[in-house]
Amino acid sequence: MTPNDLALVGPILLPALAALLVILVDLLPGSQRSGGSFLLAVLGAAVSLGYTIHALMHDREGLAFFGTMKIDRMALLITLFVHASALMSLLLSKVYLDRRSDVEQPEYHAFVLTSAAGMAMLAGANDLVNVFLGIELLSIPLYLLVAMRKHQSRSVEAGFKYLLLGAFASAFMLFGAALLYGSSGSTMLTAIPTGIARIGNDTPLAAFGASMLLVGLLFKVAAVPFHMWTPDVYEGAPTPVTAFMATATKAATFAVLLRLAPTLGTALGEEQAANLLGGLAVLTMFVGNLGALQQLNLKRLLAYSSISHAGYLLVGLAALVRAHGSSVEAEAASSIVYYLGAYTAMSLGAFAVAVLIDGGKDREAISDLAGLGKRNPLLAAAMTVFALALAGVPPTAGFFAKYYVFLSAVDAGLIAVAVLGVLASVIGLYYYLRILLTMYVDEPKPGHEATVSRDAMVAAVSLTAVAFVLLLGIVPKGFVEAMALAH
Amino acid sequence: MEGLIQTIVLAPFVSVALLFLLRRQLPKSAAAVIGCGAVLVPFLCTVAAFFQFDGTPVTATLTQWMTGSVLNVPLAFRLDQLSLTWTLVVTGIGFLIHVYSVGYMHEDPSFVRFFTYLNLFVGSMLCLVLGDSMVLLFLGWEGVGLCSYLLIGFWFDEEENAKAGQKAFVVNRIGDLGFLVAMVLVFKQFGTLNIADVNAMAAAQAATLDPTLVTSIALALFVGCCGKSAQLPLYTWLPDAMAGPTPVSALIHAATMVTAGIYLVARMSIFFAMSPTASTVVAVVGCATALFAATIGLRQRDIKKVLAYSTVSQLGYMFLALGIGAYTAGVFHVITHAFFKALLFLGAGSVIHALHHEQDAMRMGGLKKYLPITHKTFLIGSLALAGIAPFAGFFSKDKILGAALYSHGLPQLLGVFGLITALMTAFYTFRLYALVFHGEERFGHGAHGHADHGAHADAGHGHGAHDHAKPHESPLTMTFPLMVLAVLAVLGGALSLPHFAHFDMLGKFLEPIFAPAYAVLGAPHEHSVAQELGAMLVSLVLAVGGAWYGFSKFSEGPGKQAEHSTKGLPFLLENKWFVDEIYNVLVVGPMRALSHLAGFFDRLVVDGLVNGVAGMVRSAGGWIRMMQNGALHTYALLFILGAAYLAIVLL
Repeated sequence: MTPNDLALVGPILLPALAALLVILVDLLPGSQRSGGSFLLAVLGAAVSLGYTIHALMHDREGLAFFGTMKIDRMALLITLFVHASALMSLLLSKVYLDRRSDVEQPEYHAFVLTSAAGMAMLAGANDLVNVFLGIELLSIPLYLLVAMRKHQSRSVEAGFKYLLLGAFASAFMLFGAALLYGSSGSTMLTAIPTGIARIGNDTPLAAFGASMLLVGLLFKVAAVPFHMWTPDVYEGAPTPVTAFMATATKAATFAVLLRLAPTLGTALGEEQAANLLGGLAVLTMFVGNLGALQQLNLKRLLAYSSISHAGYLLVGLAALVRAHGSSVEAEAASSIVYYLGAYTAMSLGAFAVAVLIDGGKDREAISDLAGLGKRNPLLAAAMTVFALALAGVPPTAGFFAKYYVFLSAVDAGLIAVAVLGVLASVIGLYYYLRILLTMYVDEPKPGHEATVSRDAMVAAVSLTAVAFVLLLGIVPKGFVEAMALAH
Repeated sequence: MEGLIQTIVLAPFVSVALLFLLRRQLPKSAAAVIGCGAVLVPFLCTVAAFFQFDGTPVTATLTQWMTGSVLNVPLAFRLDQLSLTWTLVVTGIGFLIHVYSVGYMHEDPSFVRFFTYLNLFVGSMLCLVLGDSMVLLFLGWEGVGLCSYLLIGFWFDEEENAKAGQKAFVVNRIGDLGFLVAMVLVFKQFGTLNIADVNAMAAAQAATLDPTLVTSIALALFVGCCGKSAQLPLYTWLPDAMAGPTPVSALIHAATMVTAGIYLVARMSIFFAMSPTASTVVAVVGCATALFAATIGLRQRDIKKVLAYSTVSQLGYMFLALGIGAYTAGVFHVITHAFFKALLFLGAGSVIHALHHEQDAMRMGGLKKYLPITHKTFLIGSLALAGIAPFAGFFSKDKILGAALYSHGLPQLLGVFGLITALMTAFYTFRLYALVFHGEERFGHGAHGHADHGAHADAGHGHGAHDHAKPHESPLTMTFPLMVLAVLAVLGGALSLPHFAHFDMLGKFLEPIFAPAYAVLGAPHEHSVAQELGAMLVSLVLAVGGAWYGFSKFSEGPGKQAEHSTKGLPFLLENKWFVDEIYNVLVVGPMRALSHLAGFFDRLVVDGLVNGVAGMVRSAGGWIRMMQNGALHTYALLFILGAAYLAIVLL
């Protein structure tokens, strides 16, 4: 371990340190009421974010800890999304928690930071052991965060479900990791493909191991058929936690999937792996979009939307595996990273609006949005942008995200997958438009007027998100270049 | 240079954003300054760019817009001789008309909205002209169409105006379809939509390209041009477009937007040069439009309608020029026409303003002494439009007619028709001039509430509507642009003097643009001095004769024409050959019947199908929701089944 190693993994260490500080400061007398833990947590997240941006701008990249951590551009970009999401959801939680008395705030803040540290670790992990460590470090605080409203059965039930199924998924993952190690002689992600090739290309052991590992990761990104937990957990968790989970977990886990792509290709055969992932992608896109059609609860709707977006991302992953070794590979990788950035911005924004309209009374029905267009046109306009972006309407980030992903699929020869993806997103249009209709056309039920507090913090979050969603959409090229990965 | 180009394109859009965001806060004066500034800045930048321009085209890329393996569209703007010429016209005349609008619209409650649209139009027009790919050009093309639609229907509380806007919109869609088809064909053949690349490739492959394809591309482009530049048979929207405020008519429907079709043909001239068929179609349609519109112009009563039909007619001249390969002459006529037609429209606006939105020339007369500046400038504009030397229109029209008359075969015949059109043009121009400014005063008695014009017929709302005092000259913001344009209409011809004068600035300047086309067509004919003088003399005699006849016949008043004619040719002319009615019977009627049929089909079949599918989708949604019953063991079971499925598939 050298100082350079520590500098490289700064984006992981900083939030962890901040989490410790938050807990320590909480022990000081009188700190409970001063809101110190919130400020400290926000500061910690902001510093982590700043450090990551700094590292990105100065190309602080390299291997650390004997190559078990690979801090490259992709890792830094994903870490950037993670920390931005953590910061945003901390800001959101201020509003959310201040209206409720049933949550221990310091712990809450510390858990968000710990989880962010785990995600950052996952983004840079280049070794099966670190992958597992990262997954657990991000998951355990999340289990707790989901169940943080401990007097609310919905929240506790969600946390419990997530914990059980998560443990289940971890078991699969560990099993897969062990098999992969057995079939390749290495735990290093970059060495596994060559290891498998050396031992013999067509080993069922490696294929089985890779698929079990895949199952665990697909669970985390909420891909069908490992998605069942998603609506319940997203609905039960405190909304800022949902926002954080939906965006940051997905980003961090996709970092691992990106790194695992060569392994999947070698262990399963590129053609077969691509078809498998493509098939799962189609399934995920359709289940997500169809499931969202009949939802009445905004958070559940966004949960299904999140599932469908996992599907679009899997399209990119399938293209990446299929295009191994060609120029399309880099295109597919960047399209996934661009998609993650876009999704982080638009989804965070939508959840921010959900926090705002909830009014401390758990008003989460879509019908609670009724009349928002009249009562708070700015917020409604922001929600319009998010809904259109999630639906993939130009010129928002969501459009270009889908465009690039589908384009790389076409380039990789997965034309059927791309066509089905476009079809699925047409179904998606329907329920996003329903959000708009509700906001602008429907009359609110008496007593259910969208009560909107003019909270500076949520406004800041929504505005930032709007800015990014539009910026990414209007000048996508600059961002794509920033996200172009030397693959 | 790149910075200049970027400023040119972005300034209007920045202003649009500002005006839109601050529409409630901004006082009119500030909005006027911002709105005019947003066109003045690009104009100054264009002038600066003109002086820095060394003959090599410059491309300024703002950003990569769409990228992908198939289609790359950067947000890039290209300044070359052609786009520079157009940019100068658009920003220069655009600025003058903005200034004029400050005076013309000063009492309108939607003042800021007006300037927002006007700036948006200028921005879109610049995008059209400067865009380096067909995609950007199309974006601008649609943008100007949208602004035109918004501005025609600016006083949308009048149903008539809203309808006119819709008509323009629908007719233009037909044209746009042609443009889109052309884009697809070009992309399929050349694999790119970058205009410079496409032109270069087309020129390089001139010998091997499939002539049918070239003709298809050229004709598809021309269909687009027919819509935008109001040519037969798609011209009907332009006269109706006069429902918009007069500055809009001057800027969009005379000086700039309607010349977009000319621009497109000039830009892609190589395709037309390679396809004699397409060129012939362009020339014939142009000539026919020129003649046809001129006949209608002979008997119109509404001052703006006369000018509108003359615009359609003059645009026809320009297409005639392009069709017979006289590209420079066509562009030259665009420029001079922009000068004098903007002048005439603004003059008409000044008259309408002074007479409290009276537009019927039969109810004017004798305005010479009340509106001295408007009168003089309008006279200059009329002389230029009639094609009387030495005003600008004479030189450009003579170039076109000369090129046509001294060629062989069909173009020669078209040239003869062009001469007849010139005679009619001079006649109706001076008929209008005489009716408006000379003779007895026919305004002021019972002019108000005239059935043809609603309260909003044009500007000057609430301008002391019941004050029947003498008409008075417009304010300086309105007369100043008139004077500038008048100077241009006098001197504009100097840009490209007849060949024997050895002074053809414009021709020299535009040479590189049309060089590939002339490489295919062969160099344009050199006419002898005698030939040139002969053509000039003939067209001058016709113009002066027509003008004199028009003026002397109507300088005392409208005479018999004050009454609506009921039979014969005058009846046909006054009713515009009943083209609108014919279209209604032939196109709109069947369409309506078809739509009823389609509606029936829709309800019976499509709706059923859609409802069926929607039902299926919805029940699939319900099914997914049912599975999601919250029971943990179901989830775990599915999880395991999924994992097992993966394992089975893979092993």
